[in-house]
Parts: sequence; C-alpha cells; structure tokens
Amino acid sequence: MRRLGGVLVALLVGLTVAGCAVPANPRLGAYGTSGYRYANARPDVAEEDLFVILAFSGGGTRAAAFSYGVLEGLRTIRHRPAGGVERTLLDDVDVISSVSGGSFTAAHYALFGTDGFKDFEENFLYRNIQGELVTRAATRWPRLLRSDVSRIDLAADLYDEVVFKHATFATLLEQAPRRRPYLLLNATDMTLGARFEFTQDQFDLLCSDLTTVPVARAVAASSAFPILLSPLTLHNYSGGAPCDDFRPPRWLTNGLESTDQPRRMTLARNLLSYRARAQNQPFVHLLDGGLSDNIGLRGPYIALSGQDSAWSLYTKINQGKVRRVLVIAANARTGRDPEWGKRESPPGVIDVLDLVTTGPMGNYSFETVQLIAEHFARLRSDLESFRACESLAKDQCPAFSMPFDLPADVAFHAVELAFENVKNDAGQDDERLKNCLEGLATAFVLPRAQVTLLRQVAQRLLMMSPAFIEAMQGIAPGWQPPNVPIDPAILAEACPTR
Amino acid sequence: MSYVVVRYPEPRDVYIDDEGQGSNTAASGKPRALFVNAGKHTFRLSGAGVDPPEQTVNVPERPILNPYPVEFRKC
Repeated sequence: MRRLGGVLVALLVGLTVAGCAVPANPRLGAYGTSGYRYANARPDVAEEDLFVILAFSGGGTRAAAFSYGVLEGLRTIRHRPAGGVERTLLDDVDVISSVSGGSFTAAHYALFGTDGFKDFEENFLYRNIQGELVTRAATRWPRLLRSDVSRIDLAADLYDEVVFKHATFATLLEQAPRRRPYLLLNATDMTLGARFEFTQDQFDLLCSDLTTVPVARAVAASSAFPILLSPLTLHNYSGGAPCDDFRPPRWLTNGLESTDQPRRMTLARNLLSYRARAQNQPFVHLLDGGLSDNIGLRGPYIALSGQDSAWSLYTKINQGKVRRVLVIAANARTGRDPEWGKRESPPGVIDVLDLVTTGPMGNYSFETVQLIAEHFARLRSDLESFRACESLAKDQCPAFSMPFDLPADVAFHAVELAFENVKNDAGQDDERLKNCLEGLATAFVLPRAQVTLLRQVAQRLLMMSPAFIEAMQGIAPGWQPPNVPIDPAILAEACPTR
Repeated sequence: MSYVVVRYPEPRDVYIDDEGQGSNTAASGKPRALFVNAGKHTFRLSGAGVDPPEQTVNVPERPILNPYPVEFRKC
C-alpha cells in the first residue's frame, strides 16, 4: 500500500470519469530544417568538446526532486576549460532526456534555467500537484463530458498554468543563445509500445509542427501514468500536401534494410510506420514514457552507438568535435517492500498493481543502464587495445607505425545515481537511509522534508560516485569532491522510523 | 558497433548517410578509422573525381584493429 496508497483517491476519480483526447498538434506547413531539433537548440558546436547527457527517470515528485538535486549539484562544480572562462558543470549539459516525473525538472530547467530554480521549488516540488489534479477533476468534471476533452487535458492545463507558464517548443528554441540543453521528453506510443520523443524530427514523421505545442502537453504525455491519466492523443497528418514531400533521412532507409541488425531495423520500421499507417490510423495515443524506458536513456543510447540519430555522437566524435562524453542517469527507482516476504498473507491488490505497472519498467531500466555501461567499456577497451598494440609493436620494431589512426582520442564516462548506492560518511552502505528512500511514494506530492532529503541525497550520490569523480578529474585535474552531508533534522523528519 | 577506413588516394571529407564525418585522413597523413554502427550505410566523399560517386555497403561488426575498408577510386 505504501507507494500507490497516496494516489488511490486520484485513481478512483480517474476511473469514474470517462474521456476522449483531442489532437492539439497542427499540420506542418512545409518540410525544412527549422523547428525543435538538436542543431537549432544547440547551434554553437564549440560547446560540444565535453558532451554531457543527463537522463532523468520516472517516479513522480520523488524523481523530480532527485533529478533537481543533480542539477543543483552540477551547478556547484566550477571548472575552467583550456583557453576558456570559468563555468559550472551545469553549463556543459548538452542534452537532458527524461521520462515522467523527471520530465518536469528537465523541461523547467531547459525553459527557465537556474533563474527558474526557486519557481520550480514553489510551483512544483513543494506543491500538492496531485491534490490540485483531483480538485480539477472534481470541480471541472462537466468539461470532461465533452468529446474533445480528457483527463490528460486537465492535467496538461494545470501544468501549463502553474509550472510552465504557457511555454511552447518555440519558447524552448528562443533559449538556444542561453546555452540551455536540448530537451528530449519521452512518452510511449501505445500502438507500437515504443518510445516517442517530442522533437521536430519525430513530428516530421507525423507531418506535424511541434513549434506551437505547449511544453506542458509533452510533459503530460511523458507522465501519463496508465489508468490514472488518459493517453494524450496526437494527429498523424501524413498523406497529401505537403506531407508527400517528406524524404526520410538516409540512416532511416538504410536502417530499414539492415536485416542483420534487428535493433536498427526495428527502430527504422517503427519510425517509418507513422507514414504507412496515417491513412488508416490517423491518431497516435501516448502514455507515460516509463512504459517503454523508465530511465530516459534509450534515445541517448541510440545517439551514442551509431549514426541512426539526428544528433549522433559517433558523427560528432568522427568530426573531432567531442573529446569526452559524460552520461549521468538519475534513477529514482524504488525497491520492493521487504515486509512482503515476512508475512504469510500475500500482498494486496494495490501492491500487485504497483508491481505490475512499475516492475517491468525497473527491469528494463536496469538493462538500459547496463547497455550504456557495457558500450562505453567496449569503446574504452577498443581505444586501449589500439594504443597497446601500437606500443607493443614499437617495442619490437621502433620504426613500426600503425597503418591507420584512431578516429579520435575520446574518454567515456557513465554515472548512475540510484538510492541503492547511498553511503554513510565512512563509505559504507547506508541501509536504513536506502530503505527509507526506496519506500518513498510515487505521487505528485511528497512531504517537504522528503523533497529536501531527495535533493540532498542526489548531490551526495553525485559527489561520492567513483565514476563521476573519475570523470571530473579528467575534466578538471586535481578536482576533489566536496562533502555533502545529509541534514540530520531533515532525515529524522523525512524518515521517522530510522 | 564497428569501424571503417575509407580509402581514397587523397584527403577527402567522408559522408555517411549524408552526414559529414570529417576527413578520411588523419593529421599524420595516415588513413583515419571512423566509428560506425554495423549494418547498411551509404558512403560518399566530398569533391569531384570519385568513383563510384557513392556506395551503399553492409558494414559488418569489426574490431578497431581490423576496420572494414570502403574503397573509392580516383577518376
């Protein structure tokens, strides 16, 4: 009961109110290179030498506060790149990919930067958003009787008014000169069961213009937890002018024909299917991004492992633009209730529902984190093999020269921040704090002390992460992590059973 | 994942699936291996006098010490 119990009321309200969604994405006027794409959001390639990707998981306010703590931690780290001016590590973030609860933090930062931190705390983290959702559903229910309004629309309207201040993807593009990260808000396409990202590259496939779509609607789709919220519906306009002018990128058509590479082929087939099914299925229904990737790393993994992306890291490395890649995943996953195994009576319906809806997400997230870690290990190993082989050959034959050179000398770092790794000052596992964190609710409201605790824990995990320390010592030689203590008063209030 | 070396008698910029990947030649003058994911890709070089003008090949998985060669001739 501990995690979903808090949202039971919202569930009941949700179940008793029917609703159909309305498409709110306009048709594209003409195909081009404008719109919310990596190249337009991050136009200064000089920013890419150190390429930083953040991935924010789902988990309601728990995930939002945890990922916000990561932003706060990065903001405290100052370094001076060779030949450059001093900056914070937060300034170096190139991409934030997020799902569900993490999408609130990601989108707010991309829109408002650090100037918006205080507003985010007041308007989302420490606010009873869930209560306001329930109140809206209760007080505005006649609106839900309209065929063009759904529960997700009420949620999106609330987020639009109180959190995102009516910002659209055009507003995001206006932030490009301020070095804000490229934002990947991920939802799940119900028909494909696959990741759907709110970028113009994806919307090109629907022949739709993302520019005027409110960011709040994308965040609502990304966090549309099944049953509690209805899916968000988009119109697929493909077919007719100007949609017939669409020419898929080469990597997409080549991916479709890569029959011996099932991942590439499936990705291409899924994306191109929007074109094929527009006539018979002109609507796309989106649910919580966590259903297809609850850590937000699938999009970055594609960009990190090949040319099949509009912002391929392979391409940037081959071009010599990127010298160091740092991926930080803020994973706010929770554990299973240890009490289950102590009782003869089986867990109740709410516990089972919790496991069914979040268990597979957690398992898949673990696999994705492993994929990135293994991919980076392979890349590091390859580069080391090349150098070792060359060195060995030169020992035997000083005149030896490899017949070709490396594409680039690149360092790769993967950092996962998860509750299970929280440690005390002696560097030992802090089981009691871990158990407290893993027992926090998945809801859009948490007690103030728990929100504050999550922010502190995120910074502590970041500064104590061996992978992060290694990355920082490469970025700023001699860097030493600060001690980030957990406030004992906050801890006592947030975890009263400790 | 894989690696390719794009061979041509002189330095040229390489395009994979229409995206520029930098030069086929390192500063040392030696060919430069490029990161690529395995599967079908279309390769072309900048400038004129290249035969074929472009080629689509199925790049196999290759370790860095044995990159897959993609050959272009001067014409």
